[in-house]
Amino acid sequence: MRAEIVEEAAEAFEAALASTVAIVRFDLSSTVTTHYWSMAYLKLCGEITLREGFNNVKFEFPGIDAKLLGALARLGFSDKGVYLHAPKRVMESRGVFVSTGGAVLKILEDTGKLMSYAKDLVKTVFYFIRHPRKLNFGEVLFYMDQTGADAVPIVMLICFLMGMILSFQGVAQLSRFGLSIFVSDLVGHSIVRELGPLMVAIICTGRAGSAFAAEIGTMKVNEELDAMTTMGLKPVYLLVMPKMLGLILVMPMLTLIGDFVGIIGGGVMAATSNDITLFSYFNRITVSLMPANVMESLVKSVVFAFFVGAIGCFKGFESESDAKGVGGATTSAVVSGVFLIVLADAAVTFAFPQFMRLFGIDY
Amino acid sequence: MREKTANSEEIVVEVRNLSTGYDDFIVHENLNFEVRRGEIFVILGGSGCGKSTLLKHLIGLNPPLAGEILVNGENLASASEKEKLDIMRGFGVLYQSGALFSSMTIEENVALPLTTFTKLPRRIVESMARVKLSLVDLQGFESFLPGEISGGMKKRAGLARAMALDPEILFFDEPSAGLDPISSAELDQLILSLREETGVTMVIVTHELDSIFTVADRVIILDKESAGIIDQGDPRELRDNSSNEWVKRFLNRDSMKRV
Repeated sequence: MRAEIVEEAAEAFEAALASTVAIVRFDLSSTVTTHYWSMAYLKLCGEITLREGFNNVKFEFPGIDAKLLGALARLGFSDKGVYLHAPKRVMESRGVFVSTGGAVLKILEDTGKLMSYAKDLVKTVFYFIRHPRKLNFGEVLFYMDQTGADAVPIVMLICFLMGMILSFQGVAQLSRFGLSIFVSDLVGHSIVRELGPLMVAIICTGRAGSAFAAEIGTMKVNEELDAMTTMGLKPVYLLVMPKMLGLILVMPMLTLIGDFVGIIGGGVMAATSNDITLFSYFNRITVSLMPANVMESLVKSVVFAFFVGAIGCFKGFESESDAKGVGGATTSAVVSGVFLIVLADAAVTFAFPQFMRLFGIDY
Repeated sequence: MREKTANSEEIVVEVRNLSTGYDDFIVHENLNFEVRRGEIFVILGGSGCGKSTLLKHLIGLNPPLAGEILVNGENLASASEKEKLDIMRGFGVLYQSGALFSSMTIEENVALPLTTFTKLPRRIVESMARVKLSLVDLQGFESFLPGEISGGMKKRAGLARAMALDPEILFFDEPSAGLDPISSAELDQLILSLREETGVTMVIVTHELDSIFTVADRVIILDKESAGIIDQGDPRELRDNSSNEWVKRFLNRDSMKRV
């Protein structure tokens, strides 16, 4: 209600204020206490006088209580009765070229940071090869437990469902050609060569990658990283290795579990159709899958583990030192993690058959 | 244990023509001062004058824009990364929040520098860590996690960790921040008694007047406008005789209190 009254009064003031008016008198003699609504009204009136054409308007406050003078001065009314406003900070809008240039510089800078992080990682690996005793194996076990053991139920559930879905879709299509039995090949190869490692990697990005980023980011907020540095320790040596090693050891195991459960899931679904029995499904699986497929699954999971761990920790180190920054780092760790996984997946998928050919295996 | 050598003329930290800041934003220009062995040296100034920024440069976390920082005669500014880590091992830092590693117990926190940089047997390391913890009145809390103890205790534990390797210099970033007046006064007393016992040189960043008059031997006062040092010396001396009006007012804030 009062807000509307103030607004109406200000509008009335604006309408009444002609450019010929030089002095405005406000009778504030009856106002003894600081009243914020009347102050808001005065402030609005003052701002109106800043407009073009009203620049020489002066304010007078006859009979004003001395206690209010200080408040008026802070509102912006000078001793001489002129309203002066403190200039607000103006956010400069940048032109398209400046923004583009800025974005390019940012990308270059980020690439530089990533490169120097990669250098640190390589150094770390060599450091621990030379001083294996410096590695805290207790911590490696802790992260194996956290990122591995705790993830088993969700990996099993997702891979089981994945196998069922693939099998359902596969039988629906293949049975039209009377080839239902080949659903074993479809499920087996899809799960083992592609979806098993991929699903596990995505689950681990969401669980482990984000946790690494949040953990290191929070340590940064808490000045723990600074403390490590001034203790003469390198945070990268101390923090990254146990996490990455734990993840690299545990993700192939999770992938094997996922592959196995996915194939079972496919079998359960296939057995519900009329054409295939559980026995013939698994019989066909043993014929169609070869050890090299499982090898591919494991190679992929190790590569994915490397990227998930590395990018999770990197985003943690790059986090801004506040609560919002840690949140952003966590999100960014998951997004970049998934992107890198898919990129690495493409690379390994194309390179692996060539690699196998070197060993004389027709893949 | 080192001799108590307060007010000796030996210089342990020397800052020459230091400019501090971030990238293209300059906080201080052309700072010159030195810290002598065994003294308690306080860096003070109003909020936003860059006390903590200066500290970050002194302990080597931020690279200086120009100038030299000599710690025990070695230049932090021009040191390679490896040399820097070696210089850093020569001093301890107590951070504002204590900066204890939250996944480790208090005792493991204090023991970490010892296990990393010495080849002492486990039992000795543990007893050394317990000795440092009892020096800061934390006996009985060895197996607590940092999340389970109060803010004042975290600071004391952080102090114990900073002292783990018997450094010659200790840096404090606002030791009284976030503490109630009594814990704060207790921490000041602890700082004084540690100096008595070990003769360690201390550099403290603070703006708490009570603390300054309790512990400081010498202060430098930073100013935002001039981006430099506006006065230095004994705080009691400065309070009464400083040529700078602002310094006098800052140190005489007690006179504004209602009695």
